[in-house]
Amino acid sequence: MSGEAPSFAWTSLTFLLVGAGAVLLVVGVAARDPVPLFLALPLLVAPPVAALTGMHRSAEFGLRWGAFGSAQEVRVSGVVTPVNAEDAPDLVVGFTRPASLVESRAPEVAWGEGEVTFRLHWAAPEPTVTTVLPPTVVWRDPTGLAERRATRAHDPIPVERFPPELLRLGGVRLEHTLALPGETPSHRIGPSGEFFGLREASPSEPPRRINWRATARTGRLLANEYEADRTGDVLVIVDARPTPLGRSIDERLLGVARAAAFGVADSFLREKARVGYASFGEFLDPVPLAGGRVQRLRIREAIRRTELARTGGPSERCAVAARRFFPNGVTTLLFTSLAEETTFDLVPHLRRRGYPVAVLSPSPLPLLPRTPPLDPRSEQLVERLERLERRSRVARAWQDAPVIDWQEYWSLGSLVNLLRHPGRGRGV
Amino acid sequence: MARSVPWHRGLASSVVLGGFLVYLAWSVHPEWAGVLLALAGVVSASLLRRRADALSRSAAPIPLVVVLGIVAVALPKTTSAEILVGGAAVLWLAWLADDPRRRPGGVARAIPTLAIVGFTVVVAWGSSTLLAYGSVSLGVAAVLLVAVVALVSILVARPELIRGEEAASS
Repeated sequence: MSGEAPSFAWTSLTFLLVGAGAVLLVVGVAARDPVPLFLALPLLVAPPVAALTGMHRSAEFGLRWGAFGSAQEVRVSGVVTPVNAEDAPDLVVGFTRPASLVESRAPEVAWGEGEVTFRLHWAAPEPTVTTVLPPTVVWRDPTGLAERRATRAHDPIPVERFPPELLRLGGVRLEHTLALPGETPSHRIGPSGEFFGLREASPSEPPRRINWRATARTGRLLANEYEADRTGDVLVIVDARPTPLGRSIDERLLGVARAAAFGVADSFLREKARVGYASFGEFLDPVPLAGGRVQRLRIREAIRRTELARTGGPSERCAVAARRFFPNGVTTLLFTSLAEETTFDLVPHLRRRGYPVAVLSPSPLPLLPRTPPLDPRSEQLVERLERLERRSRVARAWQDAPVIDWQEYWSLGSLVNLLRHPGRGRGV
Repeated sequence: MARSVPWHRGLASSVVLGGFLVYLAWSVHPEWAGVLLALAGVVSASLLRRRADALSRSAAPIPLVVVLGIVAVALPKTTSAEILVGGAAVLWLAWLADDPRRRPGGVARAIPTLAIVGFTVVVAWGSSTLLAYGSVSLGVAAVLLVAVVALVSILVARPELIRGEEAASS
């Protein structure tokens, strides 16, 4: 890949020098005074000299980098290796932090022999799926007057942080929507499916699972193990319509929902389930059901391009459009904040078209600002009223489908419990 | 949260430039006002370039340009004042190269640029002092100056052009 940006550029300092030099030149000529001219001379000569002396320099570089850490911690570290090792001391490395991450410590940049190493310390206050753009690298003349930019582009790296409970979600049994399910084996060993092997039987092993012939041959109890079939199909829908909460809170809620949607999709794809994804703003943006690593990439890209819509479409449009891309009967997880009246209509419309829906609703309460500051008693009262209003909204949505009121963004145990045991009531 | 800078980074160049400006200001008018002005320019510029935000850092050279401009206008029209002002400008470029947020040793790496600019000032000062006044000699001096600066810059940038042939190994 190669960028289109020109490699050479003057810095803003050059314009300051040339401007000051021009003013001094005019003053010197007007006052017939040679002294300002002698001050103007170096200021006017320095930029072209800096450009000429640096014309064989280059900012082209190799990059080895990665994102590390777990949960809220995001560490990005790497090594920039310029094509010409002697250019390393004058490389200036810049970073762009994604909006959903915050800086926890100052970045560390160190110039070594022929390379520049960097380490960035960021944190994800909420679950997020984002990408970190490669650092911008320029070779800058030591006086800071001229610079050469790298033209070779490097790939961004993904950063995915979602609640750890979602990793256990893949074990949930889902409904099949294919005529011949079970053709794709999962990596899980389970109680049914294709024969996988033998193991020592446990004391509580059911008799049906004991392999009696093998037991007779070896003289000890052996049980069969099976390679479980693909668990089924799941559809993840993210409601990206604006609400009266305001764009800033809506975007943060959408960011949290996108991260959870990616975690859910990733977890089921690992278990060979087929996963579909759709975001609904003004129109539906679907990724049809499929499995495998390529589907993971497809869904990740679709989640990345999911943005808050300027105008929300009618709920029925979502359900009608979903019917074109997804078979009915597929287990559907809907991510919506339930902050707008129209979001309540979405569940019945989806159910009417044959989608069994469970709602995961990121609560806006942790994100609501407290302005102006109130005294502690009034603060408590306001919080209580907000909680009551939220509870009434969730209760209203429960009339149509099970709802998870997601307030602790780094925990989704209640969603896992609901999907594992759908009949056990509220997972709040 | 931006990278914090050790306090001693960039201090030497600020001290040298500050001392030189104070000397220039004192030579204009031996009063404390000029000295204070020079010191205020250097201190504010040094503090600005240590700040975290890019806007403050990019504005850091402005106080020094203003102080240099005032001093240059106020200095008497003497040949020594001309070369001193040119030297102050070169010192200011060295101060720019001693950026505390970049790898230490910026002044050493900027020596080719500083030397060529200094050489230009010396050639210009020498020609204005030694050549008889006249439009022809001024034009010849200007053309020579530009040609010499360009040639020296290119030679510094491409040292292989002045490198001799390598000795053949027997």
